[in-house]
Amino acid sequence: MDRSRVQWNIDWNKNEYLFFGLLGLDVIEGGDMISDPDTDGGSTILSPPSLIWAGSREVKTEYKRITHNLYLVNVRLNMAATLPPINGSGGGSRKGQHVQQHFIPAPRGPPSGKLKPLKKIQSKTDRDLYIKQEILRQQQPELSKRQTTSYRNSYKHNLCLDMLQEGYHRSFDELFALIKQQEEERQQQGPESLMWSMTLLKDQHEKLDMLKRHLTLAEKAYRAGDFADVYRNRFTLACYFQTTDKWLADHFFQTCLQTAGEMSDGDGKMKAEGDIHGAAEQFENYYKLSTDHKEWIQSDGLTYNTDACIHLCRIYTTLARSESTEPETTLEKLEGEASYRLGLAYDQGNDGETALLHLNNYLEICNASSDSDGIGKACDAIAKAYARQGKVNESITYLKKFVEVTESSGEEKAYSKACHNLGNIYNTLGRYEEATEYFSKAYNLSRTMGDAESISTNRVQFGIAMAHKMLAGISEHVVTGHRQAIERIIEWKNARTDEFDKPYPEPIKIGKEEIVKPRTPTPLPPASEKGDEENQEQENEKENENKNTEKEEAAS
Amino acid sequence: MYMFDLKMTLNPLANAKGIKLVCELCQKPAFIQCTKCRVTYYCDVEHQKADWMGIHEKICQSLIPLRQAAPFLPSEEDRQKREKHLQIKKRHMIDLTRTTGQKLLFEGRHEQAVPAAMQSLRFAIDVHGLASIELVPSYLILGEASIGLGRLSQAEEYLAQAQWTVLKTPECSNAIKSKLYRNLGLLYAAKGEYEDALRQLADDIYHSSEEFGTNDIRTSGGYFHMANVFFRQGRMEIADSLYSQVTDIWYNHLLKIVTIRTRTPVASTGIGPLIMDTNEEKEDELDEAQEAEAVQVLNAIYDMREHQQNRKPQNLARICHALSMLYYILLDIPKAKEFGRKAVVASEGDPDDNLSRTVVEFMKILETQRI
Repeated sequence: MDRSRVQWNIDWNKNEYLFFGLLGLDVIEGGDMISDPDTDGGSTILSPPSLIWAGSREVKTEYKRITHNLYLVNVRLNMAATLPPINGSGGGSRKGQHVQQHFIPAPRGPPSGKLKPLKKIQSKTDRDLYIKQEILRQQQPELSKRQTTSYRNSYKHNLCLDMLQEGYHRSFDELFALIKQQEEERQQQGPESLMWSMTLLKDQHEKLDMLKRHLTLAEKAYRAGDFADVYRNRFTLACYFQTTDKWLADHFFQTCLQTAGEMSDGDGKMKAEGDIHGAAEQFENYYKLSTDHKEWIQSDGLTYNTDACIHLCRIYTTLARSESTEPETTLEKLEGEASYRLGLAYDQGNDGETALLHLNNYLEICNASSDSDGIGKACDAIAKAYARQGKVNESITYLKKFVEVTESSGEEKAYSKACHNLGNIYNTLGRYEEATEYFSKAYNLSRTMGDAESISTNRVQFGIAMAHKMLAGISEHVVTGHRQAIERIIEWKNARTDEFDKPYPEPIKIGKEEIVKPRTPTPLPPASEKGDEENQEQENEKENENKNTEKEEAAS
Repeated sequence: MYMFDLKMTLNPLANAKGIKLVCELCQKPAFIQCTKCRVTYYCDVEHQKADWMGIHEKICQSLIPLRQAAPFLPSEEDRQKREKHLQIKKRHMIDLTRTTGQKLLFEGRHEQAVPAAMQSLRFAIDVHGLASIELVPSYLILGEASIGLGRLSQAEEYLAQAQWTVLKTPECSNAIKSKLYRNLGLLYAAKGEYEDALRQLADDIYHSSEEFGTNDIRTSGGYFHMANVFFRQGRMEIADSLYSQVTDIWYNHLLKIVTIRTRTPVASTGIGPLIMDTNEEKEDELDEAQEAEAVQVLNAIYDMREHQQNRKPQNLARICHALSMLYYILLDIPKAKEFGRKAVVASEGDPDDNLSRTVVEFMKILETQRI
């Protein structure tokens, strides 16, 4: 057989394979034979295996004779064709195009048995290398489809797939929603925020694993109807995230609470109660945390603190109700406590009506248990809430009650506080009589207690109230303006003894000397010759000075 | 029929030199020719008939300009213009053939979907080349048709091709991936390899959730197939939970549509029926394919629920209500009423008042409808 050398130069998706060899000359192109004119047509048909596999359609061949028996064949291949191009649709003209036999679906094997893949490794070193590589490859374990995809996909993706494959679609739903929620929040806050640089949940593999494990367990238990187990798993998650991710902890506490609610409907009521206790503890923690960080604000303007209070109250009321068969005062106390906190929280959140509702509830509970301390607290809070709403009269009644209760119980601190508040209110109302009375009480009490801070505040307040009170008498004297009155004023200026207000009861009680007596060394000009108006002005000045000195004293 | 009288017999030996005319469907030498377009050839009448039923009826005339020899155009500008024109036409053909194929699939006519899908694939190859992501939808239709016909190895080849293309195209959209994995899942399920099927369906749900959200009706298909696999595996608990998820998704979606629809007449009474009708058309959120899917899925779940041994009444009531709403949307009032009644019966002993109330309200609305 006449042999010629053919050089194969194949461009296969830019990878070049070069084949050298002593070959026959027939090349398959488009299913047709191209035979070399110098050899007989019936010689061996040879072709690189990839060429045949491609279906021999998208092939362009350049066939060049270099020497007598060396041919250069340039072959360009496209990607493996699975389907043929449509006849006549490509270039428009159908004439002259090769119309080929098509196989659908391609690819198929070599069309004839004559074709043999050619693999000839020339040198010994090359062959050794090849064999070595083959051996190495065989030693590697074969990768399954799942292994390759798990390598290709993200961690979160694989995790979700595992969950779904096991049929835990609710867990998947929840996890997916959580991750999405975080991403959206991040997007909302923009690239400048702190959250932007935080590691997202989907990149924290350990947490994802934890979530997956417990969520799937919870779902399993849910399917089996074992709510206690559901609760336990969610609770574990909530605890796990408590220190690091507050929002996750919050989410799981909420679901815990839901589960607890569902449980108490069913048979496992006793268990549920125990778990509610657990929930209460957790919310206590939550509450403490939130009180430490009052600046944490939820999206709807509700503080976490308020949120915590609401949850706590819910739990306490559930507790109280569930154990109502055995009337325990402690539980009632708990409930009362909860409503008190709730009331305060609502008051902070500017919802006075609801706040009053809860506070009154608390008051009732305290009344029932004759808890004077609690009654006092309740009255105080209620009075504050009323004052905020502008209902002064109601506020005064509750404050009076507060005073009474504290007086009878003998709690000095609370008593002083009550007197102080009441005095304040009277002061703003312009009823200085009562105001001075209560302030003096408060002042005395704080003096006996020896609490420096409250002494000074009460002293200032007492002074202000007294000044207000005296102002009326003085201005009256000034206005009447007859000799006696003026003399009295002058006398007062000199001696600071309240002589000119005979018709009025003596306002000064214990401690008066300290406060009212002016230490001002300013020499006073003779006042009698001056006109009424000037006089009054001076009086006012005096009044102010008086106040100032008092304040200075207080401050010192 | 009509066209088969119009066939024209060819003799391959009489073809011009170098030209081999091949059958449109099987690529074997052609013996007849469609006389309407004169550019399509078949090996026998059977193939001509199949092609006609599947797609050729719709595209017969449009094929002529695409397959005719190019006229002699002296200027480069003209040639380019013609080329551009052809490209637009081909793109249009891709869309047309693809939607036809999809519709046939949803109607369960797998055999007829094959020619349409083939046609779309050919045009897509012609326009986008062999390795383009644009070919994937066609492969998927072919794959699904093959699964439907029970030709699993063929289906696998098509889907493998599609998967390879998707893998090579990292920027491929989640919607396409989801479809691909759903088909793969169906394939494995048909083969009986349930674990693999679940894996693929999980992938489908994941991608679909990324694209549309976990509770979208487009995601529910994945859940449904997954439920079927679990059902066949005998893991009833999981299947049950999944079925109820699917029901919920459809139920909520249908309820939304129905509330919008029933509210419209209240707002526009007195304006006139014409305006009301246009409003309703706008708010309809189910397209043709989704309608077909809803009918298939919900009926399947209904059958399953009815034959379930220890079924819960609210589940049955819910699926009945969903079906009733679906038929109401499809304007099949008698069927809607029938399912509505079943829903009422099923929800009677049910403690959940909310559901039974909505059912009764819906029945009232149904009563006011003209039949």
